[in-house]
Amino acid sequence: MDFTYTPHEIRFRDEVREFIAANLAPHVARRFRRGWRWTRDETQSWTRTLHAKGWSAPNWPAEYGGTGWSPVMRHLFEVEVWAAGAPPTHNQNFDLVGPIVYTFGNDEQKGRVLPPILRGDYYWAQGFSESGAGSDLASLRTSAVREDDHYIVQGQKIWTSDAEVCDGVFTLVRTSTVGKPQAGISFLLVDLKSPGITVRPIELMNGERHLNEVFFDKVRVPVANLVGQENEGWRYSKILLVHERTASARVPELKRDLASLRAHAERVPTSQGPLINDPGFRARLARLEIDVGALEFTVLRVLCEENQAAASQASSVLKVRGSELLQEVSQLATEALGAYADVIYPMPTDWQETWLQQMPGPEWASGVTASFLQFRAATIYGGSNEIQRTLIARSRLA
Amino acid sequence: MDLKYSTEERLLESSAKEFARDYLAGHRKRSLVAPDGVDGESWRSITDLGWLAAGVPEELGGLGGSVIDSLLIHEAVGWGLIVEPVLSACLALRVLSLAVPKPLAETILQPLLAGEARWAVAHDESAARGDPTFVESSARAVRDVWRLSGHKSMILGAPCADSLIVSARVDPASDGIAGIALFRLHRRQFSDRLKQCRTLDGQHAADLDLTDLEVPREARIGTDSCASSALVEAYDHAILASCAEAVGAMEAAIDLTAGHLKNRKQFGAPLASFQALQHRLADMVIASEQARSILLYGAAGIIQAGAAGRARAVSAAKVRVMESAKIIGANAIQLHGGIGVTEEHIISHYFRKLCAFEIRFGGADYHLTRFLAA
Repeated sequence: MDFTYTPHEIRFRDEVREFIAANLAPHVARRFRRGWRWTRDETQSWTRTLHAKGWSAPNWPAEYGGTGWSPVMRHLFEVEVWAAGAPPTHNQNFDLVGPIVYTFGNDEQKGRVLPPILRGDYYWAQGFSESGAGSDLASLRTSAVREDDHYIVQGQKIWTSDAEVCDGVFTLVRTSTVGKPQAGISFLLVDLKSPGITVRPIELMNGERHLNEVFFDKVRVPVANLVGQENEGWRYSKILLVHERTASARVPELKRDLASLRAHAERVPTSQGPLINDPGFRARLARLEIDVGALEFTVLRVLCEENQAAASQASSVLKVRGSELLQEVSQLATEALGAYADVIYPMPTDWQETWLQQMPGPEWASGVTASFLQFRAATIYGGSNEIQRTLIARSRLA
Repeated sequence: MDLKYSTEERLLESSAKEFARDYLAGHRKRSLVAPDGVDGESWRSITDLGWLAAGVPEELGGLGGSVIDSLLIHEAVGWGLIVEPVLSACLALRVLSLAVPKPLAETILQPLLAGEARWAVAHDESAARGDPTFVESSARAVRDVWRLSGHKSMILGAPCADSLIVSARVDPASDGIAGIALFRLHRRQFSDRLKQCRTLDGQHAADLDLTDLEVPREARIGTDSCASSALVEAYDHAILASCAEAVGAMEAAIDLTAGHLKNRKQFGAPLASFQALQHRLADMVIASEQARSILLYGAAGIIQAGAAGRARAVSAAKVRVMESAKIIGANAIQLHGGIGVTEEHIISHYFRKLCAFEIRFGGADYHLTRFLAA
């Protein structure tokens, strides 16, 4: 066991810092660090900047355009880009559909799907959940019926993140009703411009509209868009969990949010001086910093773990702790903000942020409550925390 | 950076576990009834395994092991519910290695490392509540002796110790870390000044009354400048070692609890089939993983940082491991049901081990403050 970063790792971190400093637009960083969700334009332009450097897919194998970095380097990279306020690259592309296609797709699909993802040209949305199939995902009913060299897709998906700005949707669809529900599911790529598709954004309680309902009405999808074998989609999608396992801890994001909270608390006035001097607040902040420290070391342990079974079991622990801490940190941030946590700030669209001067509250206020509200979903999506706890128990009780 | 255990570390872990497994299955019963909590044969095995020498530098006759070695050893101590005062002995060894200059230190340490003598550190005072820089006991030079006064509290391993290292303030005007000196007391000097007790985890401890105790000038050991910083550094190592003991106890408690859920049937089904109980077990697993991770965070702080960074990392570990200990201890008893609160079932011993860990070396409020101050 060795805790010191090697000279190579330190040089790498410095290189990442310099690259970000030279290439990330300050107005994008400022808006994103406030807690506002990124736009497609922002992530697209950042992805293209990274791609020009060969860095857009750190988690992919080098043969498909990844960087060949060690796990520790990938972690260092993520911490740096988040700390600097860079928007994340489109997670559904790089952590979800990309790995499925390079693992289970054929050569034609790899050539068609992967390069546009790497370049930031094509955006995929994940179409898994349905209104009748949430935690019980295998009960999904959207069907794909083979007709010559097409599937006819009929049904509807929900909670489809970013579909309103995406180009395609990767779906789990029912291709068979024989046997167990899991046995009749296929993984199908669908162009969102296909006739018969309707995307309807869902307005969320924080004012954002990045989740959607997607309706499929007799949508014709070429059979060439089936990834892997028919009725094997469930197995493929389970691989995603393993691929995503350390990302779900959200450690780089938590570190950034805690650092911002600490900086803000130094400027929040109270009758007893700055909020950061309040013993109660300090103790709660310290506990969160300690918990995030423990979670970061859990991530590092998993990244260094060679036993894949042990590493994938840890994914549920990371998801539960990461999502709980996102909620706790954002809760404390709203408390630090005080009365201005009550303000509904419109999502900023104007880089100069002149609108902010027309609103009450400190300059850092916008985005705090919006992200607090948004993180209520963190313990629900990506496999609810109850599902994760059941998985953890099952692995201990096997 | 690489957080994988090396082959040597894996070997140490498995040999430590093996001893702890045998101990738990057999010798522990003897230790629990030994008058001073030490079973001679077990103590010899512990010294032969190098558990005491692991943390002592090679030039002083030790094995010069890393912080990780020490954590693996103490994890086994917690896992095996070892009653002998391993932590207390390691604390004494580290204080001596750090505070006493070299030729003398080697002479003093030799019999300790060989298992022929036992020392304990009489430093804590009840008002310190975990703060290792708090010392009210005093030592005044009177004629050719030191006259001590004060009261030392809950010294683990004192009843079986041949010698005690007593901390006392030699400069009455000093405060905090400065002005503290160390004195060696022989058994004949302190044996009738102890008030002895058993602790929650079956160890033997004692309070020490120093009122008007006169010791010769040469009882003072170590140099002025070293004593205080040696105490603080040695305490940081001991705190992290106590966290490792807790992590070992947590692992055992979770395994026992999972086993109980699989075996015990109610309503015609194994307890393991009930989701309300599964989720409690999951909370225990999550808590133990966080405790394991923060141990490494603490170790990284000790290895890489100066005194302030070390204090911060060790206090972070104590806070987080205490929180995990509460979650795991409480759920382990709850999931065992009534049998869990009996002396007969080993799970209650693990619960008490975790309680003892939480009580020792300062509570969450103290360590949160120290974390923030560093």
